[in-house]
Amino acid sequence: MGERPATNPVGRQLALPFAHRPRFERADFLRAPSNAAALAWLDPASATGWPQNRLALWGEAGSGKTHLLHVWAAEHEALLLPGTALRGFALPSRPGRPKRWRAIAVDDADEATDEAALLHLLNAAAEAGLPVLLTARAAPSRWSTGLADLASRLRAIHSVPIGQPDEAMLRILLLRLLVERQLVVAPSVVDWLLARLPRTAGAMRDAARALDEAALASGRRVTRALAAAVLDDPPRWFAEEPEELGAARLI
Amino acid sequence: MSTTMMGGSPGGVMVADGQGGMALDRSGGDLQARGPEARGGHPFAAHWARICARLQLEVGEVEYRTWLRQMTLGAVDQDEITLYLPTRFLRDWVRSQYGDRLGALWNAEVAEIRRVELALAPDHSANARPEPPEDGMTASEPRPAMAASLPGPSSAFTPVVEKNSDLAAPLDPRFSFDGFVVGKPNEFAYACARRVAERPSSPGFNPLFLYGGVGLGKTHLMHAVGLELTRPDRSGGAVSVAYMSAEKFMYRFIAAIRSQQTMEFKEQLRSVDVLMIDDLQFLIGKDNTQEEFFHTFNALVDAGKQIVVSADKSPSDLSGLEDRLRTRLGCGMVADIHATTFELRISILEAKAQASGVAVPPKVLEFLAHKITTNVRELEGALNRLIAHANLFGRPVTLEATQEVLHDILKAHDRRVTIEEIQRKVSEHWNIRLTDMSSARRARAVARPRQVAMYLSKQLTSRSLPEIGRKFGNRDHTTVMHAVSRVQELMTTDSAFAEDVELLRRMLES
Repeated sequence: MGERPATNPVGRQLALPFAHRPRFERADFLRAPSNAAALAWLDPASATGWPQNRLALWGEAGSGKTHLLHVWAAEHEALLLPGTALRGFALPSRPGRPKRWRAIAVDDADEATDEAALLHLLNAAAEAGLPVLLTARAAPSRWSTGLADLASRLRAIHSVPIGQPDEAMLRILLLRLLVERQLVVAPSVVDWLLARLPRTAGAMRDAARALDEAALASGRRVTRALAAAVLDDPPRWFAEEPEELGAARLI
Repeated sequence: MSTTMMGGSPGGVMVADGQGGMALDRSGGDLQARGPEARGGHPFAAHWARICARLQLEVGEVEYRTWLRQMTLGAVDQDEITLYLPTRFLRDWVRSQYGDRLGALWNAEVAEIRRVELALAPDHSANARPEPPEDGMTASEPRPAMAASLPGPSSAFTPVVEKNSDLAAPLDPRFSFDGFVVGKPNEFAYACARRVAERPSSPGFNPLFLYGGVGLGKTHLMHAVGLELTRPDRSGGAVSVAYMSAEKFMYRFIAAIRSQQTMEFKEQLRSVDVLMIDDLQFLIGKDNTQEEFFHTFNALVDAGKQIVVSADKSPSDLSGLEDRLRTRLGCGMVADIHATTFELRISILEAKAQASGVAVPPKVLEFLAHKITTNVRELEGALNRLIAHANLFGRPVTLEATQEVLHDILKAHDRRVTIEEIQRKVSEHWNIRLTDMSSARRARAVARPRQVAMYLSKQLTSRSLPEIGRKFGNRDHTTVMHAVSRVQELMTTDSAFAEDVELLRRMLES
């Protein structure tokens, strides 16, 4: 046995291996050096080590912040809110005794426009002894916060970045995105794409969507020619992105 | 007594216990759950190593690194061996692409094994989660969610329950007088708070109005007063204290109106011996609540009860508050807390560091005291972050670690390095013209720095390879790939060269 030629067993044609539906569960989270620190801080064993019982995860679009937030929220029976939903918000309180939250999770907390609501939420959670997890595009100390009481609390929050994905991570991510869209793509085309796309999770996501749309529109399989056409048009792949992505959006 | 958030168990490294938890990789690198038997000598470890080497050759380095390296050995059950993968997608992918081949390789290596089962690595980390207490809690209940089953003062927030616990917020035992570091900027406010805690309702000290910028210790002093007054062994006996933020006062008042229980609310408030309202500025613009507060205030003062109020400004500067309320707030003792001095910051840091049980070098404390001058909350927050990081990753607190961990508050911007910057720094370093980065010259003195700049562009930016190529005189992306592998190769053989590249990287990243 074992006398097969030393070629890629995947072969020329990549059969659609299985259907994959992404879920925000721990088993679906792709671990990589770029998110190792975030995972370490979210490890249940380290929950008591959060300074002031608060933590913020930040990173660019598609880096997995929301996924981690959902995993954590489910594991801690957290009240999960998008930042934009914070508006005159007060924690459910007696005498109603509605839901027994044990933690608070705020996704895209930097998009909260009601700063007072975020401040009171932080205070109320601290008073009740509930841990708070926030996600954002930038570290909380970088958000443009008008309310001084909130700003000083944000600057005291421990923030953990999710870094740039490495090559293995990008490859897995792109393939997973293609599988999720039920796209059949030859490995050589995947290699071709990886060598040409910006090396961010967001770019992988945009590419998968653009390839899907192009394949659908043209009724063709995703070939190198189609991939090349997608990369050329729209030209945003090569367009200058703002250098300070996080800062530009927030300041 | 300590007021620090962290500490308690020195070296409290967070590694899951004997239940076979996830190993926490302190290098910050691969953080994968390992099969339970991967450590400590799996009976087929040697066979597995040979199979891996073989697979690596067959599928190539990239494929191997992407998919197969993450597999770990699991249990053997008769003719079946289990291999673990950390995520569902990886498991499904490996099963569909390599399942048969893995079976064949195993069978060739160990004849008894005929089947390979690919499974999700058991999620120990989720199981290791401390069970929450049976009796759940509402968000407003003054009990900690996690602390119940977890020792140590880090999240332990044992509330002091007073008579009026229905109304009042819990007092945080960390915010005691002993934990308050006194210096010139806050000594007057401290003395006033002490005086009120010893002899409440003394003439001239009622109300006590504490004010100062955010994060300077107003809330700390208020809690300290409350803790002192509610101590069971207090001479003269404990008195009833209601402490709440202005926000909470308003919320409760509105809730009372809605449920038509304003009378109960008033009675409850007026039955306390000491009423403390934090952050009064949040009542600005809330006329009805102000009105209610004004009446409560008068009723309590008339009955000889003590009132303590904090705000971010002095009574006269709180525009937006009713004049009659401002007048009454200012008629007792008004004490302000000034911005910190370097000496006070150092004292605070020393006290907190000592209480944490983690060794923090003096030069780190000095660094923090110089860099974080805004307020005490941020200063303590920074120190707490350092200590938490040291505890979690089992690393000592150093100046380098400080700069890394506190990167977001020490640096003005998360500036991303640009390819142009990289080209400029590399040109300067090797003393070549910047134009040579994009010129066609191929002399080594020029070509090598150009390759290093390409390598650093790939490492430090997220630009695509074709884009990097374009910035280097419209070179092809394969040229960039070649440069990257050439530099990597040279770095392993030429240590002086590797040092140069590392130096450049650090300069660009700082």
